[in-house]
Amino acid sequence: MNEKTEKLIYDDKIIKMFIMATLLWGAVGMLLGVTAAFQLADWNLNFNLEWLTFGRLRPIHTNAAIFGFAGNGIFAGIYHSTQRLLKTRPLSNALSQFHFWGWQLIIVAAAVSLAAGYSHGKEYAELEWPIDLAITLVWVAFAVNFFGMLKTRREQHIYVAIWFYIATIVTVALLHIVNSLEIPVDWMKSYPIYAGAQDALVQWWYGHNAVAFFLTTPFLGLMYYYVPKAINRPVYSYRLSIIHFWSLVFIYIWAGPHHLLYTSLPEWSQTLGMIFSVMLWMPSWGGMINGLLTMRGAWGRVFNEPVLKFMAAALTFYGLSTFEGPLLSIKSVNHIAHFTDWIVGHVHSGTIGWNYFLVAAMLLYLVPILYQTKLYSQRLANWQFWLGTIGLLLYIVSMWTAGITQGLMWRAIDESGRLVYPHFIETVVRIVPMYWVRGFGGTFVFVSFLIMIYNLFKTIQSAPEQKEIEYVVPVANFSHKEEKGHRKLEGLTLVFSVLTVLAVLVGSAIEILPSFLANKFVERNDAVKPYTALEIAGRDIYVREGCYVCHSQQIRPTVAEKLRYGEPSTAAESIYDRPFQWGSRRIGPDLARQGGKYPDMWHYRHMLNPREVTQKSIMPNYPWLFVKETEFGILKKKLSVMKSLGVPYTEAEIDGAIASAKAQAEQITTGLASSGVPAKMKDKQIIALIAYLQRLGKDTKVSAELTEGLSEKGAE
Amino acid sequence: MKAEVLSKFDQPWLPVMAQLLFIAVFVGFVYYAYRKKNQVIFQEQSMLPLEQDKNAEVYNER
Repeated sequence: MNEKTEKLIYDDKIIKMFIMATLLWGAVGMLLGVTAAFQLADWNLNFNLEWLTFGRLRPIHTNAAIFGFAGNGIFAGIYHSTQRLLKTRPLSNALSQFHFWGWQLIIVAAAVSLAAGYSHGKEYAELEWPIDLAITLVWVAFAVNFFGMLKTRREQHIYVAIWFYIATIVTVALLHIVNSLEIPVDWMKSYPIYAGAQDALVQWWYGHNAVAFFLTTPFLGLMYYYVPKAINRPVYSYRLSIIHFWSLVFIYIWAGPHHLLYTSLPEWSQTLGMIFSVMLWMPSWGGMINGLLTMRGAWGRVFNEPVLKFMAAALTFYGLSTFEGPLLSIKSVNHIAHFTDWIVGHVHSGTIGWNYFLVAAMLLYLVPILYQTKLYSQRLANWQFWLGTIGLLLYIVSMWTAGITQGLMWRAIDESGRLVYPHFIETVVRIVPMYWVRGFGGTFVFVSFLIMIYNLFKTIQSAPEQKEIEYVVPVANFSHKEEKGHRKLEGLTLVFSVLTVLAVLVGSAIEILPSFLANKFVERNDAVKPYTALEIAGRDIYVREGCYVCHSQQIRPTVAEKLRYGEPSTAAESIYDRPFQWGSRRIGPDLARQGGKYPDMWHYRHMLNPREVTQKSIMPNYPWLFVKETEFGILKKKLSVMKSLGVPYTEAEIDGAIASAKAQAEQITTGLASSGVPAKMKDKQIIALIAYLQRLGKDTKVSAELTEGLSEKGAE
Repeated sequence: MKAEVLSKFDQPWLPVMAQLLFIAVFVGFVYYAYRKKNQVIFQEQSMLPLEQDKNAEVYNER
């Protein structure tokens, strides 16, 4: 230990700013979540307003909750714990301010642009290219500020929490950049450089690892710092934390169980892959047990202190959701759960139970310390805990029930080989009561959050006049000559960081390579043609309205799905889909074979008022599509960008894009005229959307009919 | 569809190598973490969040 000391004032201002932002965005995100939940219980709550419709509101909810609430919470905790653990200040006050204001601006831009319909159409990565660029810039500023702290640190060794932060910063940057590669069409519209199956694989690589490295690793870092702090004893097993860290980094990124299960690996390797899939439980549960055992001997305090109560609950829900995740990836379970509310329940047991509860524990502990006072009310904090817990349990149980019920109804086949519930709406109506329960559960969670805001506000109000506190810290002067092994490695920050980066990069490369090569493996189907200009316009409307949050375009190769929707989807069908729209939830039916299933007028009436054609439908009305005009002028540019990405449009097709789109719109409107639709509707967005919907799965049907015709001729 | 594409992935050596690499690193870290002589070091490390309170964070009212 260095004997020379110096004085240091930590930058607590930036921590306080991020705490305020956490509270603000948490409240916004949860309010939007509750609104969206009730919209599914009663479609009237969409209010026929385009910016408030479920398809647009749901991405704003997820972005506000993940990037607004969880993001700001992470930053508050990282700036606080890293300064203390390394006994230093952030590299630059200006960078801290840029990080804070830049991030808030991004969230505001996200909310406004998504409400206005500017969406990239990829879950949790919906933001358009200028915001993507801003995220990169702000994240780099954060990284420089953070690694600057490592460089100027006065503590020789790096505590385990910092490892988790390093992995977070590096991996999130990588995930965001790779998944956001896109070509702009105009200032708020772009197309991804990937298409179809490749786009899906890259997006899932992003989605899977974003959960791991935005909602898991930074929170584990916070857990390893704040649980020992709050309980005032070291972590139960530091050894376990080492294994926890490296296993998480490696298993999450490297042993992507889905990849191992599906590839043509030797059998021994597949078996090993299965074992490692199950082993995904190990690091997660290792971490949970490590956290819970840190509280050993202090369970009496857990019952009395809300901070510890939240920590214990957060770790328990972390254990629950990390057990449920691999369980859901088992094929037979996935068969029932996929596309159902079970997945929604699983996600919220993680985001509310793990992320919200851990942030709550951190804030209830941190705010009184930062403001040099006591928590305003332990009683209110206890109310917050019980309301939050009961609300979350209502949420999870209702979603389990809804998910399993609907999953079983979709696949129910009677003795004659027919679907027991052939009308999709039957399976929706059955689970609507669960949507009400979920809505009330979410409301409980939201109210619990409001209680925390009030409690912390009163705590800050009761704080004495704020004085800057000087800390006595050792002067930085250490060498690594006498150190060995991992201890030396931790001392050599740069080397340690590079090794972590290397682990992540090598792992990512191994997992992403099959995705990058995916196009090579997609068997071409010559019947699949690029979309017409009007269909492109309609598709962009489909993406803008967030139709993918309720409708999949992916028929799985099962008997029940074939009976309900038709031939299973093939990768070849979506080679021109930018972005892919396979979806992840079926609140409405799959649309992969929608083309030609109903007449144009059915779609016209359906979009105006879904209940006119499907009784008890919970889908919102889309009246603005009948008023707003299709942007024909930009179609030439859109096709041109598509061509630059490899879509085989001819120059003539690009030059004639506007004329051909108008001609197709006129043709559709003429067909609708017999039902009383006026000719002036040809320029409205509904016509473009109908063009797109009627195209879905059409090429494959044509291909199948041709094949059938040829074989019949052969037989003759 | 994901399965359809990945089932045609023709370079199985890649995930196999990744598995072997993972196992090697995993075994290495388990060995390192449970080596007896590292116990003292880990105990010191685990005190880092708490030591700051004892040694570094001295309230100095001005």
